[in-house]
Amino acid sequence: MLAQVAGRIFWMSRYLERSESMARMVNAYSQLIMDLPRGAELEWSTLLNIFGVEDTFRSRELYLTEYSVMQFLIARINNNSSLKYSVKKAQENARITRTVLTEEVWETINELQIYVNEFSDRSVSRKNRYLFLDEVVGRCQMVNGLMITNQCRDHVYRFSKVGHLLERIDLNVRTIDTLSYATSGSANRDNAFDTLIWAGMLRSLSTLGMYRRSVGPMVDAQSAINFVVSEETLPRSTIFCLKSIRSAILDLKNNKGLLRVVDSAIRSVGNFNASKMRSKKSQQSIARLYNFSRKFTEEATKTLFLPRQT
Amino acid sequence: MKEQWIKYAPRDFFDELLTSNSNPRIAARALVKYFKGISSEEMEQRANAARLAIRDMGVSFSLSSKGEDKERPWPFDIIPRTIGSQMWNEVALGLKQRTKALNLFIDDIYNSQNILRDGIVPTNVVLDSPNFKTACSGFTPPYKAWANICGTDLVRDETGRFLVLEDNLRVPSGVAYMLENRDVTKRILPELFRNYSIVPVDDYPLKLYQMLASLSPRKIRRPVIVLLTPGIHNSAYFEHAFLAQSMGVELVEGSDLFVDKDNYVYMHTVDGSIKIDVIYRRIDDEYLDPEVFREDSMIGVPGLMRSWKAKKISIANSPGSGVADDKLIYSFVPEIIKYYFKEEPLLPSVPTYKCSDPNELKVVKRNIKNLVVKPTDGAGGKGLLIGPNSTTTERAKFKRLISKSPRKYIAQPTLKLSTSPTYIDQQIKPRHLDLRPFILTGSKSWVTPGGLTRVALKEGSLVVNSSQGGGSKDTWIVDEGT
Repeated sequence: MLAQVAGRIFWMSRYLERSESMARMVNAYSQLIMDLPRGAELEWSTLLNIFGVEDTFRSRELYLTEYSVMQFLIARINNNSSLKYSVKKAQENARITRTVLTEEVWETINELQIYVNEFSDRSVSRKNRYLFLDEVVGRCQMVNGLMITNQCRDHVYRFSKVGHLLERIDLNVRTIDTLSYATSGSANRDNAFDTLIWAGMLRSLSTLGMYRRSVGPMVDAQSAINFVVSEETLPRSTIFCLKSIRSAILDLKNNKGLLRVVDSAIRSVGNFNASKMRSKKSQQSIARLYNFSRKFTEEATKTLFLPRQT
Repeated sequence: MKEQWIKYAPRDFFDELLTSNSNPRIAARALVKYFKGISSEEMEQRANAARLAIRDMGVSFSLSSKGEDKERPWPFDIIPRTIGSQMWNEVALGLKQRTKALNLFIDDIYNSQNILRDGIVPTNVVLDSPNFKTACSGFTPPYKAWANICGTDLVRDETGRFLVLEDNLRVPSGVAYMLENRDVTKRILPELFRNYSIVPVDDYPLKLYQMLASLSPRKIRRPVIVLLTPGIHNSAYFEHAFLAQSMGVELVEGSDLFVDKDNYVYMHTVDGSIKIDVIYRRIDDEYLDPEVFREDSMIGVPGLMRSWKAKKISIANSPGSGVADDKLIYSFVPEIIKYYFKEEPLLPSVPTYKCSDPNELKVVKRNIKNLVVKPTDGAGGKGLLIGPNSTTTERAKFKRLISKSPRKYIAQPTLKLSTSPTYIDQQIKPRHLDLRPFILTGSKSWVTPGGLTRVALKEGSLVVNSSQGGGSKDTWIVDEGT
């Protein structure tokens, strides 16, 4: 497979995963806000923090309101993390690589972009938002399903899988870190609703049902974080994603640097302790996991995606 | 829709949302303002969205008619019903008191029978009841909690006070619909939540799980809990599956379980037999154990009573709890509360005439036109006579029935049940409703914030059961301080 094509498949998948998880997260967060009474609210800035865009938001928008945050996250094309932008980039990458994709995958991604273009502006208000985002999640999942059932286990499959897994790891660490920061400390906070918040977190990562069957219906911060980071059987957990990335790159030539990055991240998960989130060791692990996607992408770009200069 | 709301006339019933001059009550202000402000197209759109959501989520109930089971979509009215949190806290205290007293009563009946000896409740009333199970005598479950899940039906009279209509202590249902109602409302009317502090309801599965876990004979970190269902043809199957999934426990049928020679209960799994600690059973007593009750029961577990009496398994609700789930016992509840607690009941009951008492039987026959006559062992709103709506023939028939089997009937005055604005045929109309909160009792007791509101969709009708064409509403306990 052409080096550049591999890179584009990788990025197409990262953007698809980003679109799906943003849609799901915004819906879960909105549902959560409806249940939290005055005094126990989470800030809208917390949602911005999960996506790492609070600073960008504050530099561009004047008011921090539900509407402006939603508009920024869903419909603003000048925000590199918005849903609209992610879907556009996914489609662009798919278009350039459509010759290596199946027709159904290309069409589904293309139709997703048409849908988001047409409806994102009017889906910012509470009234329309839920169904729109639900539809976006569904279409992204369709692409996943098509890949899994129809794609030969070739390089396309491999780099697509790696791209998805990388984004998942990224969102996991940002969600856990942001939420545990937001629910800690402040004496004015009413901790009685923390269960709702952490259950909402699990829901946003599509893991609440599995958590209930594995751990039980009680959702506390520690167990929830532990499940999402370290549960070996959960396909969305950080450790599962890291190990899957590892096996996906194992038979690539030139993978030594990549393996080193992945193995270091796997060790960080080992050092992570959900019951001591603020400890030095755990904070170090979190920092390493934050940097993982950047380091991996840099290494992959260097060793795999850039056409070799002779 | 503004004119609809202005024209809305509660007449001489207590209306949940509006006062007699059609002004919104405090807890309902933002709600009414919102509904006044939307167009009729918008309203119809929301109602359709609700129907779609319910269809997509698979919220259904089944109705057996003419021998076939039909899955019907859950009939949901989009206008919520509001109750202020202060009022609700008082009601919750009353419910806890009542449930505690009933549990003490059940425990007494199966043990020392002091309340019978002291003549507070006539012996034959209790021991002649088909729900009194001799197999349960001499036993006490953990915390003396027999009816771990109680669904107590409440109504409101024309003064707005809450009255207890009925206690359901065997296998009360409806809680899953309460949870789904809130889910649907959040989806189709999310803007409403902005201006309110509404107490969330979705910690019910957690509270239920904790209560069940507290009953486990084995004191282990994660007791094995199962939900025992009669199967997919049961009208409440949706709820069985919903609750099992929400709690993360196994949904089992009788054939998945067996009782071993050691009197422990096990479930068949691909990894071998696993011992279980607590069964949340949604099967009637009569079908629970063919060794003790109906021997033709195909849905029970042979030997279950053996295991229960040996304290190797806990069952919620305990077999035999139905002895207090009887409209005749209901009429003695105020005395029961006074007997065990030396307190007045915090929550009043609907005044009730016992046909089993010869004097009261005379009163009932004389006033049958103004009374509701109910079979003591009835369910689903069937087999009752609503005096004011009845024909001479129907009244004559009932006079014969109650004379022939007086213990089988009680009578209550027709109540001026409260109403609430309901969306019917694209208009806002008052319809009567009731409320079923759920009370959980294990090592602690807990009351749902609100409960399942059931509304009679037919004008003037007082029958709210879904099997008879009733609908339901989301119930909001509103923090009035906000």
